[in-house]
Amino acid sequence: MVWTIVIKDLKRMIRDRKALLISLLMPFILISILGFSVGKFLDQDIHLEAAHIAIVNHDSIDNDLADIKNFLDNPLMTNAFNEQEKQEMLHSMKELDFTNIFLHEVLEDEKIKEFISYQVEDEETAKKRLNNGELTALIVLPERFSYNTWINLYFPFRNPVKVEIWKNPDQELKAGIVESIVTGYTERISAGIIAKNAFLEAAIEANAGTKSYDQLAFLIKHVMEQPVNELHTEFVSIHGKNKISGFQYYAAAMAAMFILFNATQAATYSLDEKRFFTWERMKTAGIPIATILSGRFIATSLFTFIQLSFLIISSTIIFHVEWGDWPHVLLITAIISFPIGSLAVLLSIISLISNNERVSLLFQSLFIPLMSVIGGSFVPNASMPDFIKNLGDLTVNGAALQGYMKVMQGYSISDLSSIYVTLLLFGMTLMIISFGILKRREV
Amino acid sequence: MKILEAIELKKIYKKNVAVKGISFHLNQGEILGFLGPNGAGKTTTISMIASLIPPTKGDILLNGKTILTNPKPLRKILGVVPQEIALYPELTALENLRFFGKIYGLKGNKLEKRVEKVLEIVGLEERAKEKIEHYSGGMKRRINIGAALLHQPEILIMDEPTVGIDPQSRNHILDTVKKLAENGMTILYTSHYMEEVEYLCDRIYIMDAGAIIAEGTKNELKAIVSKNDRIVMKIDRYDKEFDSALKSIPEVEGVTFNNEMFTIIYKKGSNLLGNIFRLAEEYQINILSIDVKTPSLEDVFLQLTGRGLRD
Repeated sequence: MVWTIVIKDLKRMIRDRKALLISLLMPFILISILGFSVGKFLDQDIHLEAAHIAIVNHDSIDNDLADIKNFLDNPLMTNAFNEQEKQEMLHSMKELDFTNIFLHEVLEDEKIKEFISYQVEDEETAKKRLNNGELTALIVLPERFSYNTWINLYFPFRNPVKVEIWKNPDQELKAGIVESIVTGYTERISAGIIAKNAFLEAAIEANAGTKSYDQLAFLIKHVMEQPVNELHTEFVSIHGKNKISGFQYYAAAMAAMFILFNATQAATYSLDEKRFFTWERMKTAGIPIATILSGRFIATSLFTFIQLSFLIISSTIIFHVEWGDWPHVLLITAIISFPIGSLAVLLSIISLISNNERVSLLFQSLFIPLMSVIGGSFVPNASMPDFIKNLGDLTVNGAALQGYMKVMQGYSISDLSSIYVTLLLFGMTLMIISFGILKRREV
Repeated sequence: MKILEAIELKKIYKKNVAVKGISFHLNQGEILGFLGPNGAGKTTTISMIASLIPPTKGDILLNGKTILTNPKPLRKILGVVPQEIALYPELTALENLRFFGKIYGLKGNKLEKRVEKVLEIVGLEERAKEKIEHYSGGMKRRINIGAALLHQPEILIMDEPTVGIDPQSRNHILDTVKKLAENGMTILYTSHYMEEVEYLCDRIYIMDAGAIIAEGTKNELKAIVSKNDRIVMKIDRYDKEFDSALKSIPEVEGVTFNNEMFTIIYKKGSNLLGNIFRLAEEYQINILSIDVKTPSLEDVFLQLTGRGLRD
């Protein structure tokens, strides 16, 4: 019986010219318009000009060494370390000139040099240049930078060390990259401090506090060699994944958006059945409402599958859009169709209970555009705030778009499992809500 | 023999009493008429019998057994022709009939034969492959009836099946109903067209404002107004004061005005014509024609309610 209803519904949908116009022609037109216009921007490679930064260095290695020597000559320290130990410590500290490491090993790293060029300047000039927009960022290394860092690294004291980064708001992206390089460097130093603290605390617990200082210099040297060796920067694309073209993006985006209209169309059909009394004719024949709605669910899901297949095939032929591995495309298309069928059932029930089209019209005029925007159907939602992006990825169209893009990029079925789960859960939740309403309210 | 019986059926929608506890029965093989104006409660009564809506009170018995708790036995033998065109306009007549046939459990060869037969009954074999949306009002009505006949029901309920159609289609439908009854089908026919009910029905219930106000055979009902006569008079213009003056004549039982015609029910033997001519002169009304007629079911309704069926 369900299949009799499914075939009847499919015939009605396929013969409904207005619905076909919306579901097939409109997305096709929009794919071509957006693909040719906005899509071109997406096709361009991101090319960043070099970031020019200034370093204001308030630190002096000579002063720092003199200060640390005075510190070690302090009577308290004299009791703790003998002369040989002090000399070894000083020698090790000399090798850890943090300003020098930052300037010559981090900023002059081959890869970083391609992106960042720097000049050491006085603070006034540097700030002036930053204000004039000549610089991407300004980094201020504080007075006693190395001294305080040594104290933090070698002794059980914690002296505040603050590296300032002044960013040019007009070059936010580039300034952000500079910031992350500086942050990476300071985090490595912090890692050394944390390692030292952990080492000393463990030694004190084992009653080997004094002896542990013998090994501390070795530990610090070993830890601090890591950042320098490991702080490499490379600008690479994800290995083995295909880049998405503007046409590919909008083909998937329009397909994902226009399937939502099928649900509102199905709700209109349900209301029409009530108005035309064909619904009552079926009821007098003893057909349960659940059977009628199951038919609507399957018919809408199948129509969505047909619609998506049409858009995929036609965009492949006409715009040469590459959708990816065909069995995978088929699988994701089938999965996407399921929540649309569920949405159709929910909107049908609400329309039948309220006995008007207001709900589906509201969904069509308010929710579909909203879901389309946050789901990334017009512009990629990656550029939106995280909260909106995450919300958008949870919408049917957002998840469908993400899914299609990943298939286009060549991700495997297991890579897409979270998207499949989202779509299936969405469909099941809507079904549960629908039948929950049906149990409580008479349609 | 009673096949279907309604006992004290009542339907209340919020505060509105649509049907006020009516009782009636349907005998096997008869055409039973439900006559009443729009809003009399006929469709609500039919919807309760077809188990589309539950009654607020009362019971419906099929061969002595209630169908309120288990409507399946009635659904199997019941065909319903709704007042509206309950068809899919985008589908052809053939597709509509096949769909509703399958809904009633028909399939394969049996389904095809029944669809063919029904198309023959409603006289639309030649136009079967056309979409319903391209049909005339009368053709739609005929397929609407056909869809209820597919599963060969024993009882057929027809709710105003001739509303808004041309006389030719109307005559075809009335002939079809007659033929169906001759072949043994039991029919409940509702209408506000007195002539149809008078032409088709063996027994008649007259409904008004949710209640049955009279019942019986045509002759039994007409006997209600046997003490009366009827004057049908055409005039050149309507005058409200003239209308009131006619109603104030002591022998007059009821007055209606429709399509430039006054219908006046009055006590048999009264010399009313003289009074009418006098009033026409007084109100400067020209009488274009005047006839004295025997009473019809319309007059029965007029007599019982003081209003016409189509007021």
